[in-house]
Amino acid sequence: MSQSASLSPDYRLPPRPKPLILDTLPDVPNLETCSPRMQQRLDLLLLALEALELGGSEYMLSTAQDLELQSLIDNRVTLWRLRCTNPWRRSYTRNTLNIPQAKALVIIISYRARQLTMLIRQLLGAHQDIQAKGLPVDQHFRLSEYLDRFRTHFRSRMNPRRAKVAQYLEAEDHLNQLAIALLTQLLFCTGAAGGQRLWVSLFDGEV
Amino acid sequence: MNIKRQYNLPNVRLELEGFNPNATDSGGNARPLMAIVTNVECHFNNGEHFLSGGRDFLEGLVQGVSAYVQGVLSGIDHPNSTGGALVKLVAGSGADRHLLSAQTPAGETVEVELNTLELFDLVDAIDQLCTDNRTLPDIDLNLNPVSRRYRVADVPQHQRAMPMVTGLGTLAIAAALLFLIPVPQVEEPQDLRGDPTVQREEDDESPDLDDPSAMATISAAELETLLTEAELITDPTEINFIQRYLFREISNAWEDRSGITQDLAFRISATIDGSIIAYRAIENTPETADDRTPLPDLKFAPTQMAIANREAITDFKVVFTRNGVLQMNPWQGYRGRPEFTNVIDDPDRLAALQDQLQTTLEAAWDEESNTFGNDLIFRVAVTETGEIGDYEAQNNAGFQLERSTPLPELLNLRAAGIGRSFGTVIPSEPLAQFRVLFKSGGIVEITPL
Repeated sequence: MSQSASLSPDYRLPPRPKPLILDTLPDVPNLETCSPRMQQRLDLLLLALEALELGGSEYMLSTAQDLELQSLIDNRVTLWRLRCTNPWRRSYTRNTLNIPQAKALVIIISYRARQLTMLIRQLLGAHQDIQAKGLPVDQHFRLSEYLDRFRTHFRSRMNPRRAKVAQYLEAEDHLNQLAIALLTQLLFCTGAAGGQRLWVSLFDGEV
Repeated sequence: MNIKRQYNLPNVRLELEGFNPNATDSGGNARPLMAIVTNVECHFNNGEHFLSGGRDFLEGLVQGVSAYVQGVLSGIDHPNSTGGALVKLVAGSGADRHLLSAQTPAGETVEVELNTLELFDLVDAIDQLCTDNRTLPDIDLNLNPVSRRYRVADVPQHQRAMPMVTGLGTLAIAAALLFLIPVPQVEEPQDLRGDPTVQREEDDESPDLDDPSAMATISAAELETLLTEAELITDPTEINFIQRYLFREISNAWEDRSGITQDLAFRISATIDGSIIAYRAIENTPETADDRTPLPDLKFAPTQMAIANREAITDFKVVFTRNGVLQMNPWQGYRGRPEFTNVIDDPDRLAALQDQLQTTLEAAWDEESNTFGNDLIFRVAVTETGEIGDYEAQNNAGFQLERSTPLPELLNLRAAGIGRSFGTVIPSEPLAQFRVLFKSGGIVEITPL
């Protein structure tokens, strides 16, 4: 009779107070917190990632663990709280992200996006083909699945009383365009400097 | 020694050729450092075009593409000025089309249209070059956010102005149209000008008049319930006042008395304010005979308020006889002797009012009037101000010749507080009762009752 060995290590290294990986993103001077617009963009990108892979939020959490970001995101509730800084959300908390929190989210986004590079390229390529031929988007199974899931997530989590959200909810086509635009942004996150590009682009128009 | 570097991506191939002037450190095991670039070529999978140039071209490419991609990411256009005139990128026709234009050393401009995937491959090749510290370490990815000035409003200016413009336009059109409509003449209904104190009392008791549902008329079925369930007015005084009021109303409204060939009998239901809320033909009178009588005009559609108040009703039998005489009796008769409400019995007051009435009636009773030898006897009720608030013929001659006396003209129901606007036909003002005799030759005799 053999005893099953415990797979978990006896102890874990205590997480560093400030994860080193955050330093890969440059600091933007004179900014301590994020604007609602930045928070909204980050949450929407996470939403697009969720639409791309089933169980997306689980992958985000395990990514946070892999990258030693536990001190900032230790469980799903923390992650959810960070995402609820998006003013479009039904559960908008009026909190703001601080810079390390935003950096952590950017790193998770670019890391997840890089894992999904092939899928993102495939979907965007399919979208281009479909557009060139003037076909409806549901011609491509995988693409229409992504759009479908994105619309469902958006409907269930965003506050329809917000004018901008209501505009999106009114027209399916409009929402599809948003999903494709987010997919494009994710594509640019997959590159060699994708994380930095996304991070710096967040501050466009804010400084 | 020449060094070649190639960055390969699915749609883009970036090739660099250069050398290291300090060849001393190239002998080790590391990748040789490329410090100076001599030729740069950028190939695209889709087309025949390729771009080439020297270091200037490379720097322009890095900055131009980098800035444009940041604009794609954030949705805020970056000013391409730092990229120089060498390489420029602008959005093409469509969301996923990008137009890259570069100047060749010969001075020509080469244009390449890229889709988003190709643009990404281009920028990734550039990023790989920039992060590669063995190739041109002095070329850095220089990413900077653009300032607030470049941020465009979420909604374009003209769209934001749209609601205001349409609003003003609508207002102007409405104003122009309303200007053409004449100002309506306000005609205040006289009945509403009653005694303000009485008016207020009534308002306090009645349900909110602003409530439209209270004023809505009721259906036939509701009327039926109202009629069967309503309390009956039993007070003989009240019935008597209602009878007198209605008799006068119907009689005044019955103009074409010769059009009737048979007696037409109706049972009518009335409320305390003298409104006929329902009637139906009885005693072999045809159902459609009512249009030969004034009843349809006098019928007063009851409102929801009547139900809410559970207004009491009383029934009368009304007969329009074929010789033009109106007969009216309470359906259930009088259970007692009708009396007068609120009688002025102060002797001094009575004397003064009698004198006043005498003067009024003598002035009005024409000497030429002919009573055919009869005395016309009336009971006349006078308010404190001397207005005639009620009268009643007391003998047959008076009944027949009522219209030749001045009484119908002098009657002022409102002064006595009688009428629909008061909600009752019972006089709310105190009245002095007199017996009045009209005789031929303009003689009037008055005695207190």
